[in-house]
Amino acid sequence: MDLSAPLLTALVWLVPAVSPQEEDSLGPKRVNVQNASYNKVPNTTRGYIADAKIGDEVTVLAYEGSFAKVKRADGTEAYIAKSALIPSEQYVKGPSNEKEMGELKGQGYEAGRFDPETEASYKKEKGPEMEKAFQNVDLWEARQAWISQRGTLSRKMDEFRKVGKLAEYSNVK
Amino acid sequence: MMNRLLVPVLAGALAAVVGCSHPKLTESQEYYVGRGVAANAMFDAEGRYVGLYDKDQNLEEYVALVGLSVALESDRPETFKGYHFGVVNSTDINAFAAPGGFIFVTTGALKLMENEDELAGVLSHEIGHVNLRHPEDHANRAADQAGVMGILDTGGHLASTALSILGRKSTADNLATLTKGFGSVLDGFTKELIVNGYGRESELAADALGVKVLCRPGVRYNPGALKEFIARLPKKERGAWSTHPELDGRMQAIDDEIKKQGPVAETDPARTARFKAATAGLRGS
Repeated sequence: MDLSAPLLTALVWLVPAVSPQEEDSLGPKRVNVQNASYNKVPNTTRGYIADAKIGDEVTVLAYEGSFAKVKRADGTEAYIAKSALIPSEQYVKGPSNEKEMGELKGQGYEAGRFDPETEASYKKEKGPEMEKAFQNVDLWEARQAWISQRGTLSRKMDEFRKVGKLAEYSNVK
Repeated sequence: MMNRLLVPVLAGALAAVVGCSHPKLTESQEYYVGRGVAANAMFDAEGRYVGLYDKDQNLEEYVALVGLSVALESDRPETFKGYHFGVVNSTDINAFAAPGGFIFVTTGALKLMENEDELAGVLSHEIGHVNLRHPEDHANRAADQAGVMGILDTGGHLASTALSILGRKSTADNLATLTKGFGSVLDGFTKELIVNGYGRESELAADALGVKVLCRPGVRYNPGALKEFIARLPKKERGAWSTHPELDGRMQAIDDEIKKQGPVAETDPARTARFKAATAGLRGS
């Protein structure tokens, strides 16, 4: 069996340390975070259109500060945070939960990352007190699940700014 | 014969490429490191479990709203699973950021604060660290030093493909090494960074970025409140800024940054009132 071709392919794929130029390049990108939104304006809590899903394919048309103006798969245009995107060729489907990890393993994926399996192994090694601490982290994340509901978050943040005279409600213009 | 020669040659090349390209943790991996730091932050210096201050969920939500008012207007508004803000049940006066946007402030620090703008200033400093990727850079260096980068799946399926081709596919061994590496990364955070911070240069950079974000049109907190809080810190809580000349230098740098921002907001009584209401339980009133 000739191993040279797959090895060379792997070498080519392992080269990519992302340069700033690549990060700011236009063209095809994918959403690389679990919580993000498409907005009418370059802002995460104003002009909410829809939630962005990890793996979404978009085309970057331009950049405005920390935001990218993108064309979505349905042809509509929207803004999304630059930090939510990664060049398409570097996108990796990652296990974000036990179910996804199981699916990936079913496809021949090898445990080889800091992931739920590593976390579970670490907890086991550290004992019940650490197990309790991670349970507390789970509960905390669950309590703050409202942060990922971007439509609700947008309204909540607007009310918070209004009462606190922040941003557009500030007397400093 | 060809393959017997080619495999070691390419294995060496592969190692060189991995070494040269500085593989980095993915956003997902940073998130799991962040969770680990969060779990470790629930133990005090003596290793006793203290946990999060979760008996007042209104306070936790209030801290999150203040933090999000800043974080979502920062240069890095999105992380893998979004920012999370926690209140650690500790009399220590501290705040810190973990990879992936996990940000903590202690009950001790909240008790010392006088208003929402001071809280926003402290959180903005921590968000500055996240924007500048200080926690992530530290995690990457620690993972590198722990010797796990070679088996971390930085290229998705590809690293594991390469490893299996090279005949090193041993999941149990990898998991044991990764677990050890994971522990080393977390130890670095909990024993060093949470107490001492990221070093003076990084702390000053986080101050400067924090001030800029506080002054943005989408935020408008009083940036001077950060300085007011720092000035109130007891000497033993000042970390790298324990002497007066050092502290004066930090204050001056914050002032210089504020002057660059043009007109800035004052501390607003409406915000101070809601801060007092939200933290009343901590103060026993």
